[in-house]
Amino acid sequence: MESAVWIILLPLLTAFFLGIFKLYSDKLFYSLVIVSMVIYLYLLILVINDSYPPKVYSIGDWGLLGINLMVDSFSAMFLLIIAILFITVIIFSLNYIKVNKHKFIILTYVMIAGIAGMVLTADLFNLYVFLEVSSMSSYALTAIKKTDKSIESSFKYLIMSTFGSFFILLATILTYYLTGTLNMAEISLEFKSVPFMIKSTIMFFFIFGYGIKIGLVPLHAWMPDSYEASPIPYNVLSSGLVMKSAIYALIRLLYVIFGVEFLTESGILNIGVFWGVLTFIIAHTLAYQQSNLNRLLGYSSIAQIGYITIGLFLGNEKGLIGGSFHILNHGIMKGTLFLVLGIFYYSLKADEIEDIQGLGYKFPVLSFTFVVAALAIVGLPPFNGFVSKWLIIEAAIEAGFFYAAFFILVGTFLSLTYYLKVIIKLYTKTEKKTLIEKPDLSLKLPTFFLGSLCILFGIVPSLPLSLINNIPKFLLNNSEYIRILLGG
Amino acid sequence: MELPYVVVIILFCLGIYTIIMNKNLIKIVVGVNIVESSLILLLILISFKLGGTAPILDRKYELVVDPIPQALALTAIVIGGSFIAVMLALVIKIYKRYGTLNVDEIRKLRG
Amino acid sequence: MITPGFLYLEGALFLFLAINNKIKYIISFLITTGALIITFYLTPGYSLQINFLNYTLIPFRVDDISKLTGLIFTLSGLAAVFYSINISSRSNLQLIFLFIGSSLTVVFTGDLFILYIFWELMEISSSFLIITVSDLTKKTGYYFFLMQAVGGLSLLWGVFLNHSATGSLSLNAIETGIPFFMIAVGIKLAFIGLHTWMPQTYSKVPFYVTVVLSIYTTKVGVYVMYRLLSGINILAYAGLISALFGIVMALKQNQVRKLLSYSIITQVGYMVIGISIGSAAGITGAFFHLINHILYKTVLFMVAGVVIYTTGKENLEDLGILGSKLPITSLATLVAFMAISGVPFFNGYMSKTIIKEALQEPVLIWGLNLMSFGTSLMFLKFIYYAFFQNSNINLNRKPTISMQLGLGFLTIIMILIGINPFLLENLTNIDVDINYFDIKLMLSGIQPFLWSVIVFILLKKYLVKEYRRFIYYDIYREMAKIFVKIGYKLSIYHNGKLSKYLLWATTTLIILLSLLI
Repeated sequence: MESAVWIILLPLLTAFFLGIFKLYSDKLFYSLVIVSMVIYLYLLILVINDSYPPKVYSIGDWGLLGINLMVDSFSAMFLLIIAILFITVIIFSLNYIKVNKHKFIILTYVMIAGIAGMVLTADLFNLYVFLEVSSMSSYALTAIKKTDKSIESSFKYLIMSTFGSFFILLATILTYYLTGTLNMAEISLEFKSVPFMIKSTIMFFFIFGYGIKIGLVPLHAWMPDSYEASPIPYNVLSSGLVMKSAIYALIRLLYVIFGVEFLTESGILNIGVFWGVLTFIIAHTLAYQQSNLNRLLGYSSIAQIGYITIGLFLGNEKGLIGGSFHILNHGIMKGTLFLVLGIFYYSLKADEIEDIQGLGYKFPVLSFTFVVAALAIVGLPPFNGFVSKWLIIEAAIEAGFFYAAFFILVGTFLSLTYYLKVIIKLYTKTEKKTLIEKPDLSLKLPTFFLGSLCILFGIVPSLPLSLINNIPKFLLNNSEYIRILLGG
Repeated sequence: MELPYVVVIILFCLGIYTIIMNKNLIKIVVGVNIVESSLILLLILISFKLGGTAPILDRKYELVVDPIPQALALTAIVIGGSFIAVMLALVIKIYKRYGTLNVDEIRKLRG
Repeated sequence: MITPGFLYLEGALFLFLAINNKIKYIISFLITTGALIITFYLTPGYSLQINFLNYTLIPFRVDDISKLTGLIFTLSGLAAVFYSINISSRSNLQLIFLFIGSSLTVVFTGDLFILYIFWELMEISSSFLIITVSDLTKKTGYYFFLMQAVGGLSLLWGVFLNHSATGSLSLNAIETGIPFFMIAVGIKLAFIGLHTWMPQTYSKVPFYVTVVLSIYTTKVGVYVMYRLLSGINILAYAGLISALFGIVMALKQNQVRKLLSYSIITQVGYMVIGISIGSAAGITGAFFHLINHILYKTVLFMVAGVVIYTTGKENLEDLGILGSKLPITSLATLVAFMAISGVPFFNGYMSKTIIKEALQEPVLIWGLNLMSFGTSLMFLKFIYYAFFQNSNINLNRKPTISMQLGLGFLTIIMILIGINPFLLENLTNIDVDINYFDIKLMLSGIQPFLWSVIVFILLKKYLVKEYRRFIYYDIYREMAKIFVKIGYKLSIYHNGKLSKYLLWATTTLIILLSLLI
């Protein structure tokens, strides 16, 4: 069978068997985890290499009557992010999680299956189903620590996210009603004859529904709470994959189904850019106030998503490349920050900013990784955050949105204020603290790996850009996408 | 022809109103259920054709209702059901920890 | 031929191998002298091109002015590293090397992208140096980094505006974005209004860090101003105002390093005037003044450092130790004082004369004389405390050999340039056409100095008074307070109630839907 289908199936099957093996022995459990991880990595690399020109797989050979999977450059980039973050998080969480370890790993596998499904599918309702699969597992993962705050934050996340899903379902049903098909390519062709007003309404429902999942201000309120109370490996995946898959779905829908001409005509691009600017300015202002490190990083994630929104809503080629590159970079940088924070929490139960005082001298290499990732997220050269921000600003100026480019630079300054606060606290000397647990190699290696990717992608950005440069071809020019989907 | 759609709209808005305005956690969950039901009702409505029969593959019947939304409705019912289950489990846990079901009182996370 | 900056940058990495002090000395000696020799042998006109992200970049280009600046940077880098090598730890030395390396790369760059990247690297390395070097400098380092970041970002915005207008990133085509370049350069060279970071940073960090910072931070600003903004005549008046303000503030200080910082603002005003004239003589004068200024200001900071190292105190009254107990240091102080006041036969006179001759506006010439008068006045106060005021200060420890070596090295170069002013011209094939030993020029050079001696003796009572009350109003701190207050209000607004969050969501939906109509 084709490998793309296995990318969705393998994590599901693994999760099922892990659930059974949990009852037998630990050794069987871990060996299955490692074996499936290696096979999964191999499959992902196979599919990523084969992604240009895009390939279409139809499930069960039903052709256009059934569900099709399509792998193009945008999906391939997300598979790359899954490959990098998933392996790192599983290695990290083998030693890190103490409470409910088996359930955590099983749920993570289900979530990855959901995200992979969302990224690969070319069918509208299938997108909704996989969105719900990944959301359901993330609700459970948020509450896995079973403290008061975890349950409260999980409930708030659940209600708000369901609120958004309703509107996505509503828009999906209306789309089916208008066009009579669920295949993205056919919908796009039929949509040309639908009146303007109705299309705009459906588009707004989609944007609102996905906006809650992405975390645009003021729909963001569940996000910092969920970061504060969840286990840290889940935070890495949440900021790096869950929110980004919602962005993927939104962009895929907007650009393929609605088409760039409709978008420009309806003015949603201006609204999107303005919304992105509003998001990061408010998020940066709020992030300075936080004293809990997880919440601080959560607000910073919201701000970075504002940048990505600006990049992707510009509607020109460079903007799409810049925004997608920032998706990749943000996953790596935020992952590094959260993993370093995880090691601090593991060894010292350090949660607030005051608790990490002086750790720059106790863990020199780890703090250096933290500083590298923090400077990269702020957007200083020579790290990867700077390259993607440069591309977004260039694209904004080319498209004529001067105010957006100016505010991105203001946002860089604002983000420096709170990251510098944390860095200075790291390097302030203090009296000796005793470690509760010493972090061992399986915790440190993933962190250093992600941190080195920060530096690598900054100095040689052509490595990931060779994959990302092909993205606008299929998004901006949706006839290419349609032709391949229908012809295949 | 219009009436069922009006019912859908009324149910949807009622459900949203319940979720936003109600203070009791159980009633919020009930509100979610109402919205879910309204969307499934919408799905059934769009597949209806006047005079059609159930979508069974048989040569005799020519006018059948659209089968795809019925499949979508089944999927949506399953998803909605699992949502309600998780929500109710969380509500039980919240009641054990916080001792109250008032949504305004559970605010340990703020800022 | 590589850019000497990369030698320093690699040196920072090599220092990881320095397990004991001896290897540290050997590595630093090799790197600093190696960079000096490389810079000496660079030939103007060489350039290198690379490709990055579909842009052609020129990371390395040599011409006369950049070679001149590079020479003085590597020379003073040698002296500064020697001065501080005994006192600084290994990681601080690595940050110092990173800082010097990025400054050198900025000097030899050929396009705006590389300029920006290494400008930011300079900021990052100097800020981390300030933050990690001692326990008292955290808030200063925070303020410093934020202000330099504003400068870097406005430089970036200028680069973007320029790129969108002209389509190229090279240094030759500067058309738009001039105000933002002015802000960026102004923050770097501590222009009045944007100078607030300098006195507090230079006076709170350990003295060897001040020496290194003072050499490179402001002078790179002057160099970049030459590259981007030369020839804008109105900036000459701005330079004059900045310089006069520096003099007024300096006369009120009672801390040595703060006085020296305000005098940097004054001297940078000279260079700004020289560059903004735009003629070849003005630019040459400005850059010769840059060389001389680095020499004597570094000597003065090193002297202040010796005083702090040997006595542990740093107010003006404590300078009295110079006259009595430290012979070499006091000789260096005297030479630097003569040089900065523009007395003939010392190096300051030469560069000030070139700038004066290149001016044509009478306001500016009168202003320059006033500046020389003010400068020598404020340093007379310095000399008075050093040699003529009795004080009971004891020596805690003697200055180390490496400190005295660094000090002596620069003093000898100052004396050389002073005695033979044509040395600089011969070294770099620039011809200025002024006879320094002309009686008229020498008279006009020594006049401000003589006036200041007279005024000082007459008004000694007022000038030597100690000003204890300062009006310290920093507009940037006020703006920061407003920002924090807004953030606090917003944060309180998130009060944790789910119904409120859902209400925001519905409001957004209604706003979105109303946009349809």
